[in-house]
Amino acid sequence: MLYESIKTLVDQFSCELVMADPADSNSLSGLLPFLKQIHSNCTKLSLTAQANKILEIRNLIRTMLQEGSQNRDGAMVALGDLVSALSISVKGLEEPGALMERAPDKKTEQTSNANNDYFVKLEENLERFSLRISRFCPGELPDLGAILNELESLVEVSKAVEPDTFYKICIACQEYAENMGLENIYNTRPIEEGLILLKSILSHLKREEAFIFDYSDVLALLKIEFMEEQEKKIPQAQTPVIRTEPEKISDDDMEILIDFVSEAFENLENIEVNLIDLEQDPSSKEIINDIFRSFHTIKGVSGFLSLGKINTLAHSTENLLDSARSGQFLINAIATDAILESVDTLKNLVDRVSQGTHTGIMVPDDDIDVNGLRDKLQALQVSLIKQDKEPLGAILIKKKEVDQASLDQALEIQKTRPGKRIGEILVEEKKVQPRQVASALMEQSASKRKVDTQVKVSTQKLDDLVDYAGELVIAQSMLRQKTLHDPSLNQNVAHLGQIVTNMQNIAMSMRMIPIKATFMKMIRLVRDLAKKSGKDVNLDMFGEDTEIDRNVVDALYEPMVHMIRNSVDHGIEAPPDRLSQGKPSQGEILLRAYHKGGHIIIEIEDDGKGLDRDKIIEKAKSIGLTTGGEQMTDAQVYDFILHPGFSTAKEITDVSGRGVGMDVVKDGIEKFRGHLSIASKKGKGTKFTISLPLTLAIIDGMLVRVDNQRYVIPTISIQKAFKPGNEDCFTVEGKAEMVKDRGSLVPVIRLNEIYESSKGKKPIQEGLVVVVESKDEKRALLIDELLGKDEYVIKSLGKNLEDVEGIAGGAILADGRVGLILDIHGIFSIVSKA
Amino acid sequence: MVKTADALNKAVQTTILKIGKYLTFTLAKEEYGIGILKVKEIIGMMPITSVPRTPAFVKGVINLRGKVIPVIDLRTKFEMASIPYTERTCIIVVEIDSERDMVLIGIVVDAVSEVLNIQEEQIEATPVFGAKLNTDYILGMAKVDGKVKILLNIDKVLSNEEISAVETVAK
Repeated sequence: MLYESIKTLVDQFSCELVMADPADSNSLSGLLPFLKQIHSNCTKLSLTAQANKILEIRNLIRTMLQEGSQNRDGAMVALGDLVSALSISVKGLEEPGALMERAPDKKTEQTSNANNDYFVKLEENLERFSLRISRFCPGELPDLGAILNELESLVEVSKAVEPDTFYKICIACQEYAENMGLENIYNTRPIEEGLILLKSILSHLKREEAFIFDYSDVLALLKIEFMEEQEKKIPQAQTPVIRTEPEKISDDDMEILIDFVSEAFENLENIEVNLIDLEQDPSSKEIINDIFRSFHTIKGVSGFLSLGKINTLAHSTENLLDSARSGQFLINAIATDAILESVDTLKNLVDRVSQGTHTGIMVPDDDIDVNGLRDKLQALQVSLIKQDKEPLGAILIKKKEVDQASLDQALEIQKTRPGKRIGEILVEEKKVQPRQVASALMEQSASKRKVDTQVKVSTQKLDDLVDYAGELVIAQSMLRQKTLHDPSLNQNVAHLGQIVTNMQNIAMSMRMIPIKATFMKMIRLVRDLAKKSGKDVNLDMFGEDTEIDRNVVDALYEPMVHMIRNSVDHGIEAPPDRLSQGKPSQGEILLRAYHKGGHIIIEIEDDGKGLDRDKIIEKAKSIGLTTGGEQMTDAQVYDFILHPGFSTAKEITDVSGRGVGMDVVKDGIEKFRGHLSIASKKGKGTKFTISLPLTLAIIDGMLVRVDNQRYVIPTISIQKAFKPGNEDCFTVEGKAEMVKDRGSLVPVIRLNEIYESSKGKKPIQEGLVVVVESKDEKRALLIDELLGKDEYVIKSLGKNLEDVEGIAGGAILADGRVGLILDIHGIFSIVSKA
Repeated sequence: MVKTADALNKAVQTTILKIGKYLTFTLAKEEYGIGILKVKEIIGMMPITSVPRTPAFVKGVINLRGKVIPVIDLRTKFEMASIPYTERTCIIVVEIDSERDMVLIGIVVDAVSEVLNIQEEQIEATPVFGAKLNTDYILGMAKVDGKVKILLNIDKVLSNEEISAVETVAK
């Protein structure tokens, strides 16, 4: 066994030698400890030839150091020769040596044969451990992780060794090393002391002598350092407890805290989205880096603001990610869950801070425990480091470049020829093309995602930019009118027009963001809900890159959460029920987003039990929404569930079923000029379709004139416009007017009447009618003139006027004046009330 | 953010304390004043798009450099006889404290006069006129050179509730 360690040491030494800079005395003297170790190993095995060589090397290095930096190159060559001779002679050492080593052991210590194995293991472990310590670079977590690993295996092995002195010291060392990581202690001396102690205990054990020396000083050293840190920690941790008086936030802090809160929330959301991405592509360094950066920011700022708990948690999560970042392991499902848990806790903590910024007084966070989570993250980090990244072979199989049989074969070959890479073997065996291996290797470690650099801009500025861009368009078109007679000037103005239009488009698109972030949050939601309700639910998404106005995104989130909850809780059945109905036990929820006619359509579809038409009618009757007598379409029946207080769920769960929900969903969507429709098949599933305007800022509209007023009618609700002839007009009792449109009769609404712009009825035949539709109802609007069709930027009429019935907002027309955008549904309800 | 809020608080404070600079304007033969910090700008008359189904004093909306803002006719609001707009007719754009954010509203006045610095001793409390006149939105009366300027608390004149309340009646 020692032979192996000598071999590795010699290998390492030759590596170090190549790396060493001959001009740098420090790097040369750094080589000496290696030599010492190899030498002591060799003398133990009485390999005098090798030991002498090592002494030769050591002397050479010493003379080099003494002679100063001149003529070192020549000496380095000689050194190289010596080392290669050494490594050859070491490699020549074979099993006989090992046998020789074991034979005397057997004779002398027959009784402690089992112990002997332990000793060998322990010895090896200790060797590696001392190596790790000697190479420990303060502040490098991977190094510390390696030390911890060694210590852990030492603890494992020494558990069985009697007496338990060895074990105890191992534990103490382990504790200390753990604290080194946590508290950023860089002093390794206590551990080194511990190591020396362990070595001497081991030699005593070997000789079956009791270890009688007092080692309490070393233990104390290990503990003291750790206690000191603890003491330093305690006042910090306890300050919130001592401060029973709520802490007031100073004005200066307030500003920073507010910034911190918004930034932290943004970062945490970013982390969530990235984590989901990472699940798809666990090897992506870019994504891990992104998550790492977010945690790092939180950690940095929270430390600065002395938000202890946030800092601790962000720090330990960051550590975990750092190991992942350096490629020590892949973030797996367990790690993802732990990180998500940490994100949740951080959110709670940041939320407290945010509450504090509202009230001006710090809200205590004593009830939120972070230590448990921190320990969990640390344990995870240690346990994960042992695992490896996804093997190349697995990727190749996944990509169907190679089959399992040839991979196994290659793995066999690899066993006989260690050091050879699996990719090389596969290529040599002509199983795959080098190109394929290269692409698989890319996949193994490459970044697939490009991260755009972004800047944060306040929405206010963005809105102003859009406003001014719109004004610029108007100013430009006015200029154009005036320069029509001058061809050269006209050309310049046309050029200007192009630039202005581009600028307006860019300004508009700046408000658009992909819907992905919202969808990703749903993954999280479904996962949590499914776990809670004991169902197996899979969420599939399509079109998550669809772009949508950022205000609409905000509008979408709440309704989507409600509907997803409904789907998981009521829609999807429990696995046994599903199986008995011949469905796969895993429920399926589909999220789909796409553009359609200036609207963004979002579909939430589940394959659950669907809506029960009869039950809904029954319930609707019981709360007096319908008499049940009339014929109703499915859509009408399903619309009942959108009424406040309507729930057919028999039991109220904590997820949903209180009857608040769907009406909130509907209101939320309609507030943004959207529409919700429901399609369902009993036993097959339900589909909710949300249709929202692509942007809240722009509307496609038809400009019409009524008397001297100009209105914009949203194109989406227009069916057709025509000039009615005498034969198209009908009246009922001489009052109610109708026009015939493709054989069906449509009631006429006189816009001038409801908007009181003029009195008196002129005959319908003299005007034009625009047939509009809203919620499956059709009406014909009587107008005087069609002025054209265009895209209009919707402007709110101001807080005081935003609820005017029948008006959706204002739009700035080509002449710079304001035109009103009609709200068709509002107009219908005005008419139905009158 | 904090600073602007502070500044505004101070502004409100001064308005409440009633001392300070006022922009004065005329309506019929009366003179009115608005705290200068409330005034954003003064613009000439421009085409107003009337908005149907709103109270009569809401003249409509205008395009103020790409923003649509409502315009209110103070004559109509104070139930005075309306006159055709002249060259001197102005729109004073004021910033109103709404529940959360600031809202811009234009008010149509006959003519803008001047900016006056009004001292505490010039201000007299609003007399009680009884039920025929709501004086909630009058801060006080200022006597300047033998004339009376009526100081308005413009936030109250144009309060959201008031407009909405009238709106419900209109419906």
